[in-house]
Amino acid sequence: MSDKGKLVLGVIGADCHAVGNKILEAVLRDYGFDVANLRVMVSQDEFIDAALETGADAIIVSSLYGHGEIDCQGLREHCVERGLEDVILYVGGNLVVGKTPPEVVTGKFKAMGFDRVWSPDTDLSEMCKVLDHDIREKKQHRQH
Amino acid sequence: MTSAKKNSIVSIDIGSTWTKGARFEFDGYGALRFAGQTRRPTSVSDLAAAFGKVHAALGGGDGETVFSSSARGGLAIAALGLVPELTLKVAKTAALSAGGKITGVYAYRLNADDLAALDSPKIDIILFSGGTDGGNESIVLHNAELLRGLRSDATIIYAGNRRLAPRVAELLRDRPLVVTENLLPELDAPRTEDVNRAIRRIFFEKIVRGKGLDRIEEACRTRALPTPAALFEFCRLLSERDGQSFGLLDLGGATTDFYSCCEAVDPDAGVVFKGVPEPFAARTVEGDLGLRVSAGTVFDRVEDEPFRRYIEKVSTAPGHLAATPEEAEFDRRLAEKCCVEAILRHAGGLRTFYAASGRIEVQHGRDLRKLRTIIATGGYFTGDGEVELARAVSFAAARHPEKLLPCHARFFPDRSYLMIHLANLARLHPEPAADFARDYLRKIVTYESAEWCV
Repeated sequence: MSDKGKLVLGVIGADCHAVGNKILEAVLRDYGFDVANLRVMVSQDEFIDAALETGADAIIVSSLYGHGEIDCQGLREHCVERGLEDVILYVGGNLVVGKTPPEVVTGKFKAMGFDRVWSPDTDLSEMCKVLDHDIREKKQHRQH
Repeated sequence: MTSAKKNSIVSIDIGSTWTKGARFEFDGYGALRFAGQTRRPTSVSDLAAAFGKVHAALGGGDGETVFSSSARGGLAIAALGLVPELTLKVAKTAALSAGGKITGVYAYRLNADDLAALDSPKIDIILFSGGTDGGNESIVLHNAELLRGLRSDATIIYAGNRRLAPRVAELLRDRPLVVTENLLPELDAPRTEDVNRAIRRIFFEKIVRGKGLDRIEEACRTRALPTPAALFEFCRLLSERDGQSFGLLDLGGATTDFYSCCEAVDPDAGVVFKGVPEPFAARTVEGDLGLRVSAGTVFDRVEDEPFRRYIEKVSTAPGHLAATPEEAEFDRRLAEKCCVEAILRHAGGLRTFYAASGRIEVQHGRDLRKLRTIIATGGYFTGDGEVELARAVSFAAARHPEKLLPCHARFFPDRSYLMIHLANLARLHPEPAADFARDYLRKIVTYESAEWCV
């Protein structure tokens, strides 16, 4: 078992894009995270079930088909309801349909309770470093 | 176990109501021949009594004896897990495939009421799981702390997060405890063999010994299995031998069990599968579907007055046999509903989604569509009962198009009620027992199938 933290990964909703998900899993594993990959067409409950069972530090949600906003609505509230108050929530991919400025997209998803929002051209190794930092910070915070 | 091959073998199954036995003999070619059967009422206070009578009646002095038991309601197991669809589901699966009866299920954190319910003398085993390996700790430890308060003799099997095993063993050291490997070490890798072995050992050591069956074991020099465990293993054997998907339906007075051995996901179907991976062999038990004790819960509403009265009557008369053609028809209706409903609940289903890339199907549960052979056993099938199971399943498929039903299966009724005996025999002589089963079932009139399918 690795030290960097435990993650649950998946593509939310009726979205079946699989290739990016496999790449993401490989990059995260290489970095040293313990990844439970739920693959495609994952419901909110499935994410939370897996996070509870594996004691995950973070849930990484991908969405590529443009309907992410609807699928992600209520996820933070469901996490809290089901006992995952301090789980880290990341979301990334093609999160909206059409041309919306990235700041607006980020603002929307942060308002829904996501800790970080990632655009499609994200450098994945950068994201790993940020995630590593966020998890360590959360663990330290918990100890106080 | 003696090494010399004896000429005859007796199988006895101790049921809650009846103790049934059958004798088989080996012919010169090593094949089995049926040599007679009998039964005696089970005496609850002394299980060895009816056993002895049946054994004697079958001339069981020489030869081998093998037996199974579902007496006193069978093996009572309470299942504890973390998330209902994950560890708790696997715990239930493990308990059922080991031949147990599930008395209660518990998820997330236990509370004082849960503890009180678990502290019952009727529970033989508490199957305590939760957390993948290296996963959740706080909820599992909370539950272990609470379980310290148990005063009953139930054996706890800890099959949860491996990282917590030493702490749990320490917390529960003053009571019967077995630690096995995690039944869900990772989300996509359920592992129930270790738990099954533990349940079986506890059955031998505790249940058998405690209920007078140990005297029988000593006399026969064989060990008992819970009846459903014997059937479960036999299904697996038959399916492996023929390389075919295989099912068994067991229609009883109190429950209807369904066993399926098949690849739960058809690799050619091109579906997305959701949920914990299904095992090759699975058993489900429906405690509200039965011909007598559970007759009252089979239908939601019965408007036919005479039928309703019959159901009320037989619910409290476990030994009642249909006495008139009208009663036989009532039994037929009950039997059909129990069988079809049990299969519907056992089977998985498909949900269709439409995405930019086209139509996608998502499967939950077991795909029974490739099941070719289903044996129907239970007292009902030994009489004149004529349930047209293949047709009933086809009609159910029309009403539930999303369910993955065995539309192309042929049903073979166990007219001489031999399946449990063949299952017992197979534990010592797998090949001859499987050969006998194949020949015996083929001689039975088969129901029509494929042309009815929707």
